Amino acid sequence: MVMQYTPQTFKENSAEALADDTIRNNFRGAMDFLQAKRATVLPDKAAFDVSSKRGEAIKLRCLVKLPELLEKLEDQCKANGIHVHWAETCEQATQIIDDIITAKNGSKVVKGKSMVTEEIGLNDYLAEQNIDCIESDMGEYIVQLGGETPSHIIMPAIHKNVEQIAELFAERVPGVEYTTDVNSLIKVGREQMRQLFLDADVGISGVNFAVAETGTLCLVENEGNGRMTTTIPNTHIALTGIEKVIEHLADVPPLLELLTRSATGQLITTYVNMISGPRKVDERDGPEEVHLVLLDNGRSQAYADEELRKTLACIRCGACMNACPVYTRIGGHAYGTVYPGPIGKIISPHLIGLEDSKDLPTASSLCGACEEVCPVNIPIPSILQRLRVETNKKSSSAAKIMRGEGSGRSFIEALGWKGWAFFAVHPALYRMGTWFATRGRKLIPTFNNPWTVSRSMPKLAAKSLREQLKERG
Amino acid sequence: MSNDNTSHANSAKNNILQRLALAGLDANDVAAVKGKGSVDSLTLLVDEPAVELRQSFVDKMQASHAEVIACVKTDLQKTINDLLVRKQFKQLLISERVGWVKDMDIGDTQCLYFADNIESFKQQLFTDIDAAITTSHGSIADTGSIILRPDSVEPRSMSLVPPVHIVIVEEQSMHPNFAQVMKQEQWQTCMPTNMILVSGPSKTADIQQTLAYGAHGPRELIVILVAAV
Amino acid sequence: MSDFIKQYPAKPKKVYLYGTCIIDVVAPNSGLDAIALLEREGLEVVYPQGQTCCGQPAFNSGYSDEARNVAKAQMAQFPEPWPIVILSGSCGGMLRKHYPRLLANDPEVEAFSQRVFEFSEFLVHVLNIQLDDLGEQQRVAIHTSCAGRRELGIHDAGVSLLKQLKNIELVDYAYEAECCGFGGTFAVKHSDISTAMVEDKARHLSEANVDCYISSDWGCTLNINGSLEHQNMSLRGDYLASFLRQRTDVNNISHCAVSPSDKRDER
Repeated sequence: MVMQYTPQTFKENSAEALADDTIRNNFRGAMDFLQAKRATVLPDKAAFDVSSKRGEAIKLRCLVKLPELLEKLEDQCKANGIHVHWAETCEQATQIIDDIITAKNGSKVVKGKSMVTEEIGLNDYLAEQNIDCIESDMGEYIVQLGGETPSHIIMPAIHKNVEQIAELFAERVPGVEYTTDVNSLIKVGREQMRQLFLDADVGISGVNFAVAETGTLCLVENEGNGRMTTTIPNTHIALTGIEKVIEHLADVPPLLELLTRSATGQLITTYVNMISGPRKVDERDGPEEVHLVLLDNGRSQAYADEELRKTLACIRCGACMNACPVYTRIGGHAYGTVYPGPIGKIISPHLIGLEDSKDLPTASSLCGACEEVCPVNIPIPSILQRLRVETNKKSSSAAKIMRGEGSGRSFIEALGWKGWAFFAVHPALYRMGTWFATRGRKLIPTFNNPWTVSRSMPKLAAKSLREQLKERG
Repeated sequence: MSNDNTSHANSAKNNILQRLALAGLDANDVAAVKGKGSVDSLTLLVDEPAVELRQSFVDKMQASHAEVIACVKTDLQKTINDLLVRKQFKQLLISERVGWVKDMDIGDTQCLYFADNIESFKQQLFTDIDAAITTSHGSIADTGSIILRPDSVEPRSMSLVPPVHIVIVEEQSMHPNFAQVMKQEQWQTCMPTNMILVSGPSKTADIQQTLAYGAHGPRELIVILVAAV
Repeated sequence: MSDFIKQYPAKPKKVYLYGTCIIDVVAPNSGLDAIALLEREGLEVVYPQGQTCCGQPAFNSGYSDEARNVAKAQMAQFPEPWPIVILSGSCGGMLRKHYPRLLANDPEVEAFSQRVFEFSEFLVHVLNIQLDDLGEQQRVAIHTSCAGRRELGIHDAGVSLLKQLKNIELVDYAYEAECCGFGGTFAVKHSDISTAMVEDKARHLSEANVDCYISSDWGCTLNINGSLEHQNMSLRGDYLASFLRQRTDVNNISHCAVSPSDKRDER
C-alpha cells in the first residue's frame, strides 16, 4: 500500500511541508527551472495570447461536441480494430482492465506514464490481484521504488533531489552502489526496464489526445518507455478521461505545440506516437490487441455546468503548478489528491466530491499566475471562486450541481457576511461603524489570530477618509 | 475477447452519455463552435525556402544530440559504408529497403533482417542487436523531427529497441511544420497502424531536472540527410 | 485573460474617486494624496459619500449573493458618466472584471465597468502626467498587486511613473511578480502558506537594499509591512500616490521611510 496524504488533512499536510526545508528547496529549484525553460520557448506574450486563444477555441469546440465525438471515436476505433470500453467509476475501470488482463492470462504488466491510472489506483488494485504492474517512466519508477505517489503531473519525482534518488537506488535496486551521477542512475533505470519490456505481456498507457476523426491515440514522451509499453507487449490497454477526445487530426499540431512548450519547455517531445490500431495481418510487431478505456469519474459533473466545463479543457501540461506560489511552497503531496496544484484544486472536487476536498478551493490567493500560463486559457481563479460559492451553498431543494455542495458551509461565516453586506449597502450604518472603529481604535484589544501570528495588526487612522472629505466640503 | 458488447458495458456508455446530456447543449451550440480554432482559419501555413528549412532541421536535431551526416544521393551508399566501418556494430538490423547494406564490406558486422514476427525475434532484438537502419517518411523543419511510418517491411521496434538508430532522411520530403505536412498529405484519410515523430535520441530530466540521454529508446540517433542533387 | 484596456478616454474635467474601504480607515492620507495629485492636474474630484466597499471580500469568500448586493449599491453611487478613479488594483479588478460577471443581467454594468480606471493607469494613459522630481536621491522597489498586474495590466504604468522621477533609482529584486500572499481571506484561512509567501516577499524586498518599496495596493502593503514589522525588519512600503506627491509637491517635500503615509495617519 502506497503512502498517501489525504485532501481532508490538507492544512496539516501543508504545515508539515512548509516546515520541511528539503521540500521547500527542491520545489523552489524545480519550479524556477521549469519556468525558465518555458520562458525560452514562449518568450513572447502576444504570440502566446494568440496560440492559447486558439488552444482554448479548439478545446471549447471539442467539449461542446463531446458526446458526438465520443461516439465517433468509438466507431472509428472499432473500425480500426481497437476495443472500446466505457467506465463510469474508478471501480468499473479497474475491473475492465483486470478482466482484459485475466482474459489474456497476463501476469507481467508494464505501465507507461498515466495520471489516469493513478486516479483509479491501478497499481494497488493489480497488486492485490497478484499482478505485477511496474512503472517504466523514470520518474514514476523512482516514485514506485520509494513507495510514494507522484508529486507533479509531468515530473513525478520532482520532490526528490539527486542525493535522495541515489540513496533510494542504492537501497532498493539490487547490485547498485550509491552514485549521484545522473547518467549512471539513468543507466540503472534503463537496464532494469529492458528485461521488463521484453517479458511484459500487457502494456498500459495513458492518452494525450484521442482523435475521433481517425480513431487515433496520440502519446507524447521523451524516454521511449511509452513506445516500448505500447509496441512490445502483446496487449495494449490505453486509459483516458473522456475529456481528452479531439475532433480532427488537424487539431493535434496546435495543441501538441502548446503542450510540449508549456510542460517542459520543449519545441516537441522526443517521440510523438500515433496509434490507430492493433497489429495488422501483414505486420510483424505491435500488440495484437489494443483496448481503449474511457473514464468518466465525475468529469460529466463538471461538463453539465457551462462555467465548470472549462475545467475539462485541461491538456495536462502542468504549467499552472509550475507558476503557482502555493504549489512551489507546499509541494505536490500536500494536496493529497492525484492531481495537485491549481488544476488539482478545480478538478478534484468533481473526481472525489467537494465534501472531501473543500479546503482546496480556498487554498489560493487568486493571484492568477496559473491562468496567465494556461495554454488553453482556463479561468482558474474564477473557477476557484465559483467552487467557493458551491462549498458555501445553503441546502435547498434545487437540483445539485456538484456532489458535496454546501459541505463547507459555516453558519457563523454566512451570518458574518450577511451582516457585513448589510452594513455595506447602508452607508449611514457603515459610516457609523467606521466612526466607532476609528475613534475606538486604541481600545481594540490585540489578540492572537491567524493574521497576527506573523504580521503586526493594521493600525486604524484617527479619522476616516470619508469624514475628512466631508469636512472639506 | 472484449466485453464492449455486454449490456453492462452498454449501460455504462449510456449512463455517461446521459449525464453529458444534462449540459443541455443543442444543435445551435454545436453550430456556434463550428471551425473554431481550426488550422485552416489561420496563417500557420508557411512557404519557406528549402535551405532555411534544412538549416532549421539540422540545428534542432543537433541541439537534441542527434548526429547529422549530410550527403548527396549518389554518395548515400558510401556514406553509410563509412559510418558502419567507423562504428563496427556486431549485429546490424536492416530491411529490404536498404538491402544493399548486406553487400558492403564492413568488417565483422553481421547484417540481419527482422524475423517473420517479433515473438520469434524478441530476445535477440533486445540483447544482441546493436543498431538498426531504417528509412523515413519525411521530416519537419521547425521542430527538427523525422516522420516514421513503420510497416511490414520496417517494423516499429526497429527504430525503438536497438540502442542505435540510423535513419535515412530525404531532404526533398522536408516540410516546414507538422500542421502543414498533415494537411498536404491528408493524413486523416490514411493513418497507418502506427506513425511516429522522432526528434532525437531518448532522454529524461526526471532526476533533479538534469538532462540525461539514453533512457529507454535508442541512446543514439544518427541521421543521414540526403540531398537530391 | 489579458484583455487590458487598449484605448483610454481623453482627459476629463470631472472624475469620481473610489477610495476603497482599506484606505478609508487605515490610510486616509493616501486618499488625500491621490486627490491632491488629480486636482493639481486640473481635475474636479467627486467622492460619493455613500461608497462603502467593492464587495470583493465576500465575493472571494464565495458569498456571491452578498457581494452582488454590495456591488449594486456601489454602482448606484456613481450615476454620472464620469471616469471612476480607483485607488487599488485589487478593487479595480473587482469593478472592471468581476462586476460584469456578478451582475451579468444588469444592462448598465458593462458601461459602468468600462469607466473604472486604476490610479496609476489613469495618471499615465489619461492624464499623461509629467512629474518634476524635487526630492533627494533614493532607491526604491515597486510592488504591484497580482490583480493590478494580471487583471488590469497596470504594472507598467506604475513603473513608468517612478521612472519619471529623476532622483529615484528603481531597483529590480527577486521574484518581483510573485504574489505577496495576501489574497484577502486567504491570509487567515491558510495563514501558514500565506505567511511563507509574505516572509519570502519581505526577504526579497529587504535584500534589494532600498529605502522603501512602493505599492499601488494597500492590501498588499498591510500584509508586507505587517510581516516586516513582526520580524523587526526596518523596511516599509508606501502608497504610490503618496510617494509621488511627497516627491513633487513644492510646498511639502518629504521622503518615504521617514514619513510613510500610514504613520502620518496616526495621531
